[in-house]
Amino acid sequence: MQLDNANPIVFQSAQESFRLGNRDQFILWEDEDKDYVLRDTMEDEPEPIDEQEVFDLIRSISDPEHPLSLEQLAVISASQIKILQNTVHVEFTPTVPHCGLSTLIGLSMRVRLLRSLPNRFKIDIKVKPGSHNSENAVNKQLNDKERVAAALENSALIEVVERCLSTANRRGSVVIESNE
Amino acid sequence: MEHIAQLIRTYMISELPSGNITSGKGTLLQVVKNLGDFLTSEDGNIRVGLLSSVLQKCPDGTLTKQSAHVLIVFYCDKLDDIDTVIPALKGLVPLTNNMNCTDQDAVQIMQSIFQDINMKAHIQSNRLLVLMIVDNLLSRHREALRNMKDEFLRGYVQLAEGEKDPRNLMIAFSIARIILIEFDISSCVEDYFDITFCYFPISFRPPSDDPYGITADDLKRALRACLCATSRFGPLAMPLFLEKLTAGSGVTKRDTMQTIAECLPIYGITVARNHANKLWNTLKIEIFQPIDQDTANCALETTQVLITLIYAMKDDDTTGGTEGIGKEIVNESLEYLKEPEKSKAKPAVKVMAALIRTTRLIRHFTISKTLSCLIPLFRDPAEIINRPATLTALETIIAAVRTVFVPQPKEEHRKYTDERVLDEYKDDLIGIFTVGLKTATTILPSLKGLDTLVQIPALLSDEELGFVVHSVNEVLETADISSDHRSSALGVLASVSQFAPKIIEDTTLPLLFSSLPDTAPPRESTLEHTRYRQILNNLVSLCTPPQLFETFIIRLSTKLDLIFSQKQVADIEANAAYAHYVLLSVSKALAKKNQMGHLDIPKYVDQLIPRIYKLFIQEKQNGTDSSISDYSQLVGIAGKVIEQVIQTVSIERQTTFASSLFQAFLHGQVQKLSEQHVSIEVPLGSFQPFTNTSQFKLVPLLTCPIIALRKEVRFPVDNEIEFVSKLAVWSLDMNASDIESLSVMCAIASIINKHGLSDFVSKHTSDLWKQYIIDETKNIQQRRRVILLWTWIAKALMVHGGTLFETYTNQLFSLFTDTRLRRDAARALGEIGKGGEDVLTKKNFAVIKILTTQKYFNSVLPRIMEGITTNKGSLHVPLCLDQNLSSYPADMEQQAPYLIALTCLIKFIPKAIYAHHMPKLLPLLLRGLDLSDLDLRIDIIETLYATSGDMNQKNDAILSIISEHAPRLCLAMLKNSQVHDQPLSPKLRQIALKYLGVLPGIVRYDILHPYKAQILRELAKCLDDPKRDVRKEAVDTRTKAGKDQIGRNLFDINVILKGLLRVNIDTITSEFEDRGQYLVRRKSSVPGTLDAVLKTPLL
Amino acid sequence: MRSHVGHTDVVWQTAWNPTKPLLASCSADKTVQLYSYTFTSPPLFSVATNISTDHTRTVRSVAWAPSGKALATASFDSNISIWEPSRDESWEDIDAEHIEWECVGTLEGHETECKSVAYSSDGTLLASCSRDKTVWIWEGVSTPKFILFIPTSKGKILVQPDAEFECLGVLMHHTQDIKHVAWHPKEQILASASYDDTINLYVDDPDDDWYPVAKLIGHTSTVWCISWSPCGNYFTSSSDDLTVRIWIRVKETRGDRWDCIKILKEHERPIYSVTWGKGQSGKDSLGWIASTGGDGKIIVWNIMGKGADIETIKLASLEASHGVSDTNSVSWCLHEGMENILASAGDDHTVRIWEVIPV
Repeated sequence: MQLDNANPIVFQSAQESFRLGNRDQFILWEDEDKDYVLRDTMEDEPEPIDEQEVFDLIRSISDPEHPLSLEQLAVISASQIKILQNTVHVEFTPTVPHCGLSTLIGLSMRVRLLRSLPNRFKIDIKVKPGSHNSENAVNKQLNDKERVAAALENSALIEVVERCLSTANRRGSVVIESNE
Repeated sequence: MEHIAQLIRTYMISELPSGNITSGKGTLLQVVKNLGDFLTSEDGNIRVGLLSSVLQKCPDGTLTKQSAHVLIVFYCDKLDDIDTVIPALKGLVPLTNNMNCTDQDAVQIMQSIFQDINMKAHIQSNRLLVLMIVDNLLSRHREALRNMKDEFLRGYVQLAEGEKDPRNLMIAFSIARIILIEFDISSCVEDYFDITFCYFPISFRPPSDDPYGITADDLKRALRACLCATSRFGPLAMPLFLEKLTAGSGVTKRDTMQTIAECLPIYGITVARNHANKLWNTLKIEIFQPIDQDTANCALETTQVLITLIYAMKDDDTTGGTEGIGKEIVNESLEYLKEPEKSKAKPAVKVMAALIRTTRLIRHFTISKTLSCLIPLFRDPAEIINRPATLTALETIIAAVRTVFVPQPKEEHRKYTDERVLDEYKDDLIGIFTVGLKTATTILPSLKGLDTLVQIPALLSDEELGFVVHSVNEVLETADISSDHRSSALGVLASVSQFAPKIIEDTTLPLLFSSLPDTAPPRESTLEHTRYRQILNNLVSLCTPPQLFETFIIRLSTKLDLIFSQKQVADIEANAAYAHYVLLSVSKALAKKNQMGHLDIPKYVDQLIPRIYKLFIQEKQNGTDSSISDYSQLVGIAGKVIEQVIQTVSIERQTTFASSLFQAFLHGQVQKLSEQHVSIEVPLGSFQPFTNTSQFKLVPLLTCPIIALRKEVRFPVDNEIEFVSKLAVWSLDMNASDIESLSVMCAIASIINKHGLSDFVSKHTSDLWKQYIIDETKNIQQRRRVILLWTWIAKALMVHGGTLFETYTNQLFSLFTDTRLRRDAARALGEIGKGGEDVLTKKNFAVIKILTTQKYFNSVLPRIMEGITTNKGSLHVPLCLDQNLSSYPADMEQQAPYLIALTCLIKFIPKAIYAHHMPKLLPLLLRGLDLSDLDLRIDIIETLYATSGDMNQKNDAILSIISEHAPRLCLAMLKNSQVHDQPLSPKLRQIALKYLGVLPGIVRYDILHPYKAQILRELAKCLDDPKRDVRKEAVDTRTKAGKDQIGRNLFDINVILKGLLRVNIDTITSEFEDRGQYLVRRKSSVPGTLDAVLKTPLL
Repeated sequence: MRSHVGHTDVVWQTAWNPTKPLLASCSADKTVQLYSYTFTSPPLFSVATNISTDHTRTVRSVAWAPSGKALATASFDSNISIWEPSRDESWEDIDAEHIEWECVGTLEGHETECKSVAYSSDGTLLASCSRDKTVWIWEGVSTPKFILFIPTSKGKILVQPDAEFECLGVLMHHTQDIKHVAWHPKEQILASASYDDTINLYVDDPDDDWYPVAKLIGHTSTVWCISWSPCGNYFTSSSDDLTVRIWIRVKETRGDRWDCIKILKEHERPIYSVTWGKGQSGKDSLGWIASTGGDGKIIVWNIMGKGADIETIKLASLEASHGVSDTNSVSWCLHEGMENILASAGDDHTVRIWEVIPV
């Protein structure tokens, strides 16, 4: 088949998200038994869902065309995610302005978030303004709940989506390739 | 005679094979005679059956050549008779294995088989017999069969054709391989091609309950062995392979490529050449538009094989022969390399890497082409943004070179010095990578590159290494703490320190040491603390080589002197923590060295140990006001270091050391511990650690080394028993912190383990027991201590072997009625299973018998099981989600300690020991999940998780029991993963989800499927867990649980249906049998949701 | 307020039976639930029947015939099904709860998901719309059954299945997905709302085919829903552009004109549904409008005034009508004296009943 973008640019994917959370909390007496330290500190105050966490959920989704993650193709980045109360806004940048797979990519992200976020969240997914020829069309489709619902009943489509999602759980951790 | 005749009659009636004959009491001849009219009976089975069943039992040698021959003839002409063929074959199997079966017999057998047996007409088991016969003959009469020429070859083709059963195929393939290798098949290559290649690519899915345990892989390998058995297949095979490559799924493709890789070398260079282009054209698709990484890698390996083969001999002739496919591939990939930032560049580099691993000729060609493309690229100002990509590409290339020249364990490795492929580029490379260190975006790939570079033996000169180290040091100075820059920078330095420690010692170490503070930073400045810890860790990672280690010790002990000497510091604890970390680092380094088997450790008994004692003992002198050595962690780690050193010294040295040690601690003669250059000066008698409570803190400095003393080292005390009893009393002294008391107990354990001391064990301990345990008024903490002491004594005896430990375990069991101590006692029983931990070890010369944990387990398990079942009460564990866990029936209260003991035990002992008990244990563990004890539940689930860990090498016993309980397991996990009104520990929620996540992977699809909807619904709630880690787990688990693929393709629908019915009834009955629900449940055969299944009976 | 869990998946729409105390709801679980209720105040609801339709995908829309004797379902599987009581007792004496519904016909023709279905005021006509950008108008024809060939969008011949229904026309005047169709309460005027942001109005040309009399532009995004005022002089529309609009019919010699006379902007997320009922604010009131959508808010307005000069008085506003979930549909009860009863359907798999008490 003719690829929309046969040889896209690959970007260094960032290190795994590093947080100064409880886990890295400072202990005066460095303890060998990390686990027990963890057990204590884990009881602490709640950690609300933040942009980084949402990003971790979708950064490793595979591009439908390449064995590369959306992050590696710079389709999405942490800075393109915003959370306001119970609404998650995700903005993404298709690799090329004519990319016909943008809706598919968007759909994959929506499915991933629908499955992975508490249902109190409303999800808006949009392409970066000016990054796609038929920007409005794509946005409209991705956020038309009826269309999405129908799409998810389409086994052929969902199969493709599943393939894109099969790598999602890596959360940015770089794939260990046997570097023979 | 009569006797035999009679035996035969009985057989004919009873069908019992007659032992007497086999045991040689009669001769076969007699048998045959007496068979008389039976031999002419209508029923073929009777005619031939007995003989065969006798023969199968005949010990080799009962047959003479002659009688064997008679029998063979007899059987052979029974082959054409439909009634007798089967028993006849049964008879021939043992005969063909018999040494008295001659070549002629062999030939005859084959002939009659070819003539009379039509495989298609027989069932698998009979076909198997035939194949076994052939196999036997092939191994014993190969020559004879070879001489049959075409008759045999064609005959066998007839037999083998159309075989479909994996059991038969396994043997058929092995037969085919022998024939292909040993026989001249020129006349019927095509036939043999057909009967082997018709199976390729072989796909086979063993039934879920396959008793023969033949895996798809076994078949694949067996078949491959045939395909690559002869070069004659080459011309026929390649087109077929190519076709499969273009068609098939990922699996097929991988299988095909691996097969090609194996076959090509056999098929030979001509075949390879002829198909090279076609092959590469298909392979490159897999490489440049990969469906997945594995497939891509297969393609790369195959390419490598192809090229290696084609250019194999060219290495010798100097008339540069890169012409041909190899050159084409390089040029092709080079195109992509010109845009290293694009996605195609990555596979391109991999191709190059693969080629580099082929032949010398191609290697040089590839390297020169690649580097002369990439190096200018890096320098090109227009390409600056792409530098990271370029550097990564370069690194991959060098890494490939390195793999070629780094000594491999097995195959003879090439010496770099023979080829010096990189010499002409190394200046450029060093230049480029060091330049790369200057910009943030390129630091990481550059460091990686340098690391690889320095690891190529004999590539860089010392000056060059020096230069590299110098530039990396700069990174070290600038890079902020715990940045990944820093760690990879150290990676490079560590690599260098292997070849050229001097350079590191002169440049890097001073840098690091100088950045260590002399006194601890204020505790609130977290960064500063992390900083010195980082630096110390860095030092540990660098300073294992003897030369460096020496500097390391010297610098650090001076550092310690400094820290200890500061009296008027604001925050003593911070200082103590700093000192602690310094010693911890020393300990880490020692451990590493010990692992690497370095021999320079013993000398530090003179260079380091005295200084440590001096520090602590003198420090204790100046005033008893709060001092840094009051922090038991600090003393503890100091003891640890001493222990590590003492472990390594000779008996003699240990003995002398021991005496001065005891002199110091028991008689206050501290200076005995001095060494020429370190003298410990304190007023006589002022050091009385066992009477002066403030000095008691230093006791670990006595006990730790004791642990490391050899069995042979006698203690310089008049009465050892007395000494140990004294220790025991101290260990229970509540003035001692837990750490101190524990260290004393460890010493006691170590002594008992090495010196026996049966009196102490038998008498003194029982006094202690009376004194502390029986008397319930005693302080609970102290009683807990006693339990701990018991644990350690039991450990000592346990690992020592024998059954002495049982007195102690019994006493622990007896505490199960003591409401205040039962839990501690229970946990203690588990702890014992841990064995000697890091105290009673070979390193510490402890007496350790094998299988002791096993014995221990077997001795306590029955008692625990009994304890649980006798206190059983209702077996039913309520399983509705809303059920409140905080309360559970009183009868569980008695079970509790047993369940706790069980869990801890399983948690600590190796899986192999309890694996086969799992069927018994799992239900009990499940019950434990309903106890309110959160830690216990965590332990249980962690145990379950561990057991399910390596399910891929599946343990059927465990697997089936888990399957049986799967629905209840799921529910239990869901229950433990929810944030209910009563808060469960996040750790519990997390591990519960984790385990729930593995279930779909190990339990058959059809078992869990009915509950999928509900599981997903429940998991949805966990997505909103307040804890991030728990949410993460929930997401992953939900994904796994949501997967429909799991197993679906494995089970056709009626299996699923069957499964549903069976599972449902099983689980249900097992749950409700003893609640009189059995019949009720039987009726419901199709499961609804989990609650439905579990709640209906409660209505 | 009462909440009814019956479905195992998203509930898309509800519809009140015009003559019997029955409420129908349809869901992604491919079923239709029927609830019967009492005429008490407040009314008590109980599940009457659960029709597991033979639709193979989500049932998106349900509609009752004015007689109440027939129920139409539209599904993502692109088919329409017609359901009627299986026992032929006279409609009047059947007891609502015990009616068994059987499928009397399946209307095939749409190429992709059906999004909405509606009966005309006299019950003779049925309209359906789909993502295939077409509106179909069907006529219920009484037995004897016959098969009818008619030209379709793509000019190809379409064979009607066991057709008690014949297709009168296929209207292709939208450039996109059509979300909703609604018939005028008295006349044979059909309105359709589309993903192309426009609303079309169609009438029947006696001596020709159905044709669009007007294309209303105004909404700046998908128009999700349309509801006519009881009097028929107005209708309201709701949209993805977060507005509810009220349109008035202006009679003119050359034909009618339709003007937007009010824009209500109260929602923060797409407005999936509006419904215009009689309400209980006396005779000078034009009735009550309720709207809801992705923000889960249900807002109720009383519409007062005459002609183009109307005012909207907000009677009630309710947050989180279905908890954290979206609310997909609202509809007023049609029964005399119960005009203040409202049914809503949500992503939380529930149908909820509300009583609006003006203060």
